[in-house]
Amino acid sequence: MARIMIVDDNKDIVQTMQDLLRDAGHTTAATYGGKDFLVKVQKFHPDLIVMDVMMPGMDFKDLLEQFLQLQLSAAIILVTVVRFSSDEGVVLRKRYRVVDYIKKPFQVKDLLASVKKHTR
Amino acid sequence: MKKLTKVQADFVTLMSHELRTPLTPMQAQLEMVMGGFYGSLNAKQKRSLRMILRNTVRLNHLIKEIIDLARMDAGNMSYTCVSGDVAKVARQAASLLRPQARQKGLYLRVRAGALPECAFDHERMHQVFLNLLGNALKYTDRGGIEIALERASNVPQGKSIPGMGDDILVRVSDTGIGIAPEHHALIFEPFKQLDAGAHRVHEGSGLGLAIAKGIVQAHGGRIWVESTGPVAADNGVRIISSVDMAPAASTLQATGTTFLFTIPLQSTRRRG
Repeated sequence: MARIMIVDDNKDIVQTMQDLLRDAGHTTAATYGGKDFLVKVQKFHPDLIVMDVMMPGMDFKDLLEQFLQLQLSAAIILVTVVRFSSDEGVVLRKRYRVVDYIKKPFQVKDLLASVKKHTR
Repeated sequence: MKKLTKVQADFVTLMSHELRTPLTPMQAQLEMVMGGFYGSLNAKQKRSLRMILRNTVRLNHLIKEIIDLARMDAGNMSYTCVSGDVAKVARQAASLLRPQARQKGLYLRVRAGALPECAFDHERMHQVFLNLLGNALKYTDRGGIEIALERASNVPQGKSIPGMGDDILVRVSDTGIGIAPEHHALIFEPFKQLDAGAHRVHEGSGLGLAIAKGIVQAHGGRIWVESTGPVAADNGVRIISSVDMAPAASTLQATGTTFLFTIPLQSTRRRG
């Protein structure tokens, strides 16, 4: 199964996702954003990152840009309340390897289906 | 002015995130517990959790409506228009609400003529259908609901509306209590419910029709209502017992409500 890193400032969301993904057989790590993420991701080497787009104190695109510089190969699922325009979607997909979006609040089946789809 | 609009838009986005964040683990953990993730439950526990989940979903829906309205108000509602079949979106919305219709003993059907594809925001249009159908379900206790889609150019002479051109015309008709003509404009305003107040009978935020109107207008269309009512209790209408049984024309209630809206074939979408 896959190595999945969860990036969200809400500890309850992180715990919930970890419970679900570990039960599905994946190995998980969690971080609450920012510099902690940039350090941990280099140690954990995830296949997939599930990231909240609105974390305090940082713009998620700035974070993605810094992640890009690390030249790691993980795909990214964004957890979001906003809809991105078609143009933004193209940039997110092509530049940052964003492969899917999950709306907040998510249904369990939607999270698991998205992870399953992108960890084959 | 532009700065104020951006501040408004940023505030709405932040509020949307902050309100939905605590709902996320609430809803997910409820699903997990109810799905046996932490072990089996007895019948009373399941009933209790179903109640909590139902109200969590309702709360989420209400937050979504408020945020949508705030976005419209700030001119910050975004639309992604993709070519597609409007009737297909109507059928998807109907299938979601058919179980509720069945529970009330109502029919819910979709009737569509040959329609060309047109560019529209599928998710938002789905929302329009859900809001109109939800409204119809709420105020209909016998008979049922029908969505009819056709090209405006096919509407018989004498019944066509000037200026519709070749738009797609959608009708959502119910055999419910009806809306008195003096309330026709009022119902599209936010938070307006005709039975609002301490003794109101019907649940709801009063935002669904305002949001539907905003989405339709953002697509360059028009929305309006035709109705007579409220309907007298002794109107002699036969109660339809099966939602799959199409009633004969002669048994159809002569009153009720029809919401109509148009979708232009040529996109005149504006940011709404």
